[in-house]
Amino acid sequence: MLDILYNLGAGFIHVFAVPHLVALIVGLVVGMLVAVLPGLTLVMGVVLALPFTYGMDITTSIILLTAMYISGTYGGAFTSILFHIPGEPIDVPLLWDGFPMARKGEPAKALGWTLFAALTGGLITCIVAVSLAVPFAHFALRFDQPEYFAVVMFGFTSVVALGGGSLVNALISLFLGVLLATVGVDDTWGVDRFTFGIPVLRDGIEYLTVMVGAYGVGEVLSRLELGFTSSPLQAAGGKIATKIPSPRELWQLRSTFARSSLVGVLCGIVPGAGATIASFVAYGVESQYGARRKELGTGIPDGIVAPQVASTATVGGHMVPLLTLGIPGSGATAVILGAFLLHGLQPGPMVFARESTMVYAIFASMFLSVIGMCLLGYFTIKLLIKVLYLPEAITAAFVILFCVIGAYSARNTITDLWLIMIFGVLGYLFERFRFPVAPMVLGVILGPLAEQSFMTSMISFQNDWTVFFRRPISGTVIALAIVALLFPLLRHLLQRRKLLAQGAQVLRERQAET
Amino acid sequence: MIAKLKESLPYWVTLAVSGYFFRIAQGISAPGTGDQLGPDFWPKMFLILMMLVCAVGIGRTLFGRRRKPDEVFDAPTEGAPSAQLGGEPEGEPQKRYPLLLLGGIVLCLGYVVLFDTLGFFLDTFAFMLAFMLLGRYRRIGAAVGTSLVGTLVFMYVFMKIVYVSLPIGSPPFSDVSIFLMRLMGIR
Repeated sequence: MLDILYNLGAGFIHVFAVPHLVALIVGLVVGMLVAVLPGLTLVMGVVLALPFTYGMDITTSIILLTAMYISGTYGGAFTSILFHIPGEPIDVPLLWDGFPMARKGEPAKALGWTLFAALTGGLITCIVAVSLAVPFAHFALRFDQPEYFAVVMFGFTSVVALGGGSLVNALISLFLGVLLATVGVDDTWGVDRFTFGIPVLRDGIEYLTVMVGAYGVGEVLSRLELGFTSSPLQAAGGKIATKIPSPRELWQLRSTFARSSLVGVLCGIVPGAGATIASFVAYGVESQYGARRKELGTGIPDGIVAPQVASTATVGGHMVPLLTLGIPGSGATAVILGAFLLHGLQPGPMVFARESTMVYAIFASMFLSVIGMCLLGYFTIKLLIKVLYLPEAITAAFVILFCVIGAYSARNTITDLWLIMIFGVLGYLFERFRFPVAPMVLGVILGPLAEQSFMTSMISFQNDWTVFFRRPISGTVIALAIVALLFPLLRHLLQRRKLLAQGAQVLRERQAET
Repeated sequence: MIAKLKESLPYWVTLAVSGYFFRIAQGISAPGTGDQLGPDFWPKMFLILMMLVCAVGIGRTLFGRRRKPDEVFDAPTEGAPSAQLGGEPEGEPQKRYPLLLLGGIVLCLGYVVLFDTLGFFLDTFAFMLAFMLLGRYRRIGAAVGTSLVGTLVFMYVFMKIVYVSLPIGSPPFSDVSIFLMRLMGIR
């Protein structure tokens, strides 16, 4: 424990170096702007910032992206509460109580609750990340190739199962991502696969190209088809300010804070159950177990605190498997993993031994990011939401420009520009036909690791595939992966059973009445 | 039935494409693999899985019941393009402009086609201006100004600070890029 505190202290000193501090502040501001704008998602923002990190050292670039990630979970709250525009999907539950509270003439109070919720969720998540990372990393040192394969499979299945929407569509998206990762020269045998004689394809398809194309260009095309018609601003009226709740008010909501933090952290650690799910689940939990559950939806602080605490609390949870196992649990952490790989570093248990200064600098930057984002929200929100007045056509043109430069900078080849346009159209088609993009991105990033660990296991264990089930850790993780995959089916059955029970109850009541 | 067939179209297309790639994967081989799994195993396995899932998708669309989306769990995934809620009222179908989409795709493709010939500056400036106008932004002066300043800022940041070698174009367009580079002190 003392070691952790010592390293964390050193991390803080490291973060206070000028380049890191500048990256942190820029990340916070940009993350908040991205979250405020309904046309830009948090993940898209992190993707678009990636090319700017090429010239930075690895710690600075991860600090920048992590700061964007953290402040992105908070920025959208302002537009949800004040204008009824959720900047991010995670902010949708804030519409149900935040906006009504603002309409009741208490926008400053609603913003104050959000600020305190983000601060609490953020600090708790940082503490959890710091405390869990080392035990996680020690545990991960026992991993061999079958265990890595099992963990990647668990990541895949839970992202597919918990990501929302159709399981079939999510699986197709995932398989497509894994197949895209097979393009190029095969690592084990050195043979060309799906290169069609194009020299640049022998190096494979960069995951950056897939991410930038599908998230950036695809999103712009989808919104262009809708004519760039963002909702007009309907301000809640009054002066935009933040009023911090009193200690007594905060104490009254202690159970909500505790419940939602737990939901957020758990949803963070499980790959796939990102901030959006956490935000909705926390609101759902509050509506079932909250002291004022019957008043939810009328503009009470409980309905603001629960989703905000939970969504910010997922960040640290996501960072733990990312840093210790190299497994991203969300779209944003997938991009951060991409940044690690671009700088030639594969996150995993050994990172704690070899690059502990960097790891603890990242943790320290998370603490500072949480505090910084709250200060930023408190003092500069009036200025930040002016970005909402930017015409969508202008932001979209800039998004395309970011995408093009991002893709071109990686390898300086025009083929990558063609590829981002192809993936852009694919991203649009995914959106149009309700296929999720996140599984494809994870597939393309983790596909090589999955294949390498699978093939190496097969070579080491003479093609005995039961090795994945026989070894205790990999067997357990594979079992969890199967459970995760069966979860949507189970959920469907439970809902059906619940509906049938409700139907039977209604029938009984009607019979009793007659 | 036609509506169901239309709904299942993405699965048919994916199935056909997977079949095509499976045929290509048949030709992937490496000498001396012996008893070991060859380089074709992994892609073939996922292509088979893809085809199976497509078959399930087709079956579900053609013969299954239409399901109501689960309100909580069908919430868009963080970061997915479908995650753009943007404050639009739920349930109301939004008006779509396919010609705008087509125009956007053509502009993007044109941008890539002319990237090497016109060079980064001219191509990007023209693209941004055209894209803003296509996106129904009608303040021409502001669009020209934003495109110009935006392109110059990007050119400076990436060529001077991040050291990305952006294309300068072919003559005579390269003269414009070279002039601007001199002006900005980019070597």
